[in-house]
Amino acid sequence: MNKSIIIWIFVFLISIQFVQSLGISPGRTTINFEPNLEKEVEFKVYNNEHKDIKVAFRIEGEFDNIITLPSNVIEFKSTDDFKLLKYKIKLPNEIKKPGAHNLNIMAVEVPNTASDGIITIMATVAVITQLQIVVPTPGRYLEASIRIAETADTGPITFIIPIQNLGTQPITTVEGTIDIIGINNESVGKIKTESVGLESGESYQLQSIWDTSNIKPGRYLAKLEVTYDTSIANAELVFNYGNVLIDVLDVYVKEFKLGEIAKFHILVENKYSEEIKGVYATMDFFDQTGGLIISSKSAGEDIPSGVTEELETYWDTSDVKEGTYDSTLKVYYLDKINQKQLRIVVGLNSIKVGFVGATAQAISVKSALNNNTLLLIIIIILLVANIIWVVHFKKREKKD
Amino acid sequence: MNKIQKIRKNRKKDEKINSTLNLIIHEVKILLLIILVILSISLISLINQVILLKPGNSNILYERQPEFIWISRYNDFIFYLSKDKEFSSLIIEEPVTENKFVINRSLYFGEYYWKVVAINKGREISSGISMFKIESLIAAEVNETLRNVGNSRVDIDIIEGNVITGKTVLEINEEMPLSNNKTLYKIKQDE
Repeated sequence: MNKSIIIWIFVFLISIQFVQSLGISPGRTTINFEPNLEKEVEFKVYNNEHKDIKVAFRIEGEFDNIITLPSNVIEFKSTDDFKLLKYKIKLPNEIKKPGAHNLNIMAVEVPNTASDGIITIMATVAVITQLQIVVPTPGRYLEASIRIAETADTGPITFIIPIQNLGTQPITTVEGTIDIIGINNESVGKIKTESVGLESGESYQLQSIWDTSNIKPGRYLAKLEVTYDTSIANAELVFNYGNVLIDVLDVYVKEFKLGEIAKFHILVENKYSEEIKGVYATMDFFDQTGGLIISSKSAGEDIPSGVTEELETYWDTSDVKEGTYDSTLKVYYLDKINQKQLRIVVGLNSIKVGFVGATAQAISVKSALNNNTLLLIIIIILLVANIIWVVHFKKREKKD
Repeated sequence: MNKIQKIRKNRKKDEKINSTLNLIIHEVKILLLIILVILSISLISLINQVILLKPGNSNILYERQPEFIWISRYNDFIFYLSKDKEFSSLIIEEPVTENKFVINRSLYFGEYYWKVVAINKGREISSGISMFKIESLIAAEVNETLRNVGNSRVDIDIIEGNVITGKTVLEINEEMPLSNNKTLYKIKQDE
């Protein structure tokens, strides 16, 4: 067989990896407590990888004896998308503690034994469908919390407010208001959520979007007040907004003669709403071949909010020739790093510093594309070569 | 004589069959006409309606940002999404100029009701009400990492030798590195 075909088959084979994928739905079933209630609850187990697998079940949590499973192990054929199953529940006569009581029904893929007796050992995943039994508090009672949805470092923030009616009575209107407080205890925004009704035991997530276009990066407090009928539930959340809190404004060298020590002035601005302590910078200088010449570190500075400060690094140029050099500037603050690429032109009596940043990124993206194109060309050439080779030998066979 | 009588008899029989056949054809024609009229009326009334297509009534979805599609000859609509069929717990009430609505937020699990009202020359033409349910799906994929491929934020307990050695939260589609081959990852809904 042609060598390249063997190589391609080998590449294909090594790209095959063991994948484990299991799903269960719903993730939670909520029922209101009723003495001695008997009920069947449906759930689905998904065989996402379409493999022949065995799935075992286990129950854990409070009152685990109230659930009866149809079977402890089920078998999936590779053709099965999912299996619809039911478990039976029989509630006790009384649960004294009001609130939500959770039971976990765990589904775990059982490791398969291969025909040669070798067991594939992998990290194991157990997916859980929860049974939540709500013992309602007499009257109207609502629990609320607040969190932020995964969002970009800049742009609007989405607040998510999970609410659950843990009372015996339905709630006609639930509505939330979020007051956002800045570091100096000033209100910087007030937003409202939609208004919904909730049956006893029912859960929901209110949402509200905060427009942050005029908001400085920093730490904020979100004070949530949820009004339900005539009562109120409260929750709070401290959160950070924005990523680039220390901005690099400029890097320059004032007076310089080749052979002396060059002093780099790094102008940084604290855009955070609080003082940031211990801000420092490092500069790595590289020669034309990309080799590291020297690293230099500045002293640490405490920078108040909104203030522009100067950090200083030094470069001994006694062994340096005229020319262009690359440098990486890193500004360290809190647990973050703001990194910039610099291009330094060293002359006899001056040093000029420029930011590379976006241009360098564009160059690297372009070169990555070129590599892909090159790879594609090689693949096409190999394919064409193989076709010609096969056709040539077929013709030769016919002639013979 | 007998032969003539036989011919006459046969002719009478033929005439009878012919008249019955004509009657049947006539009645079929009338029936077809009635069906045509009914179809035309239905079509005209359908054209004047707003018909909800997707998500279909009583559908169960795992997609938390579903696309809503309807058909109608009108151009201006108001889209309504609610937690209850009386539309008193409104989540969305938004004017739309297309026959679809793409929701810009992730809906929580549970039942929802939706309808569309067309606005034509100041007149409101409402669609029917359609219900759908969003159900949570807890699913994970273990390859070189563990990825949350379900539709809910999940809590993960990391267990080694019956001892919880770590806890983490994974957003939808987020992944985490695996520690070693003998670790159990217990995954449950966090919303």
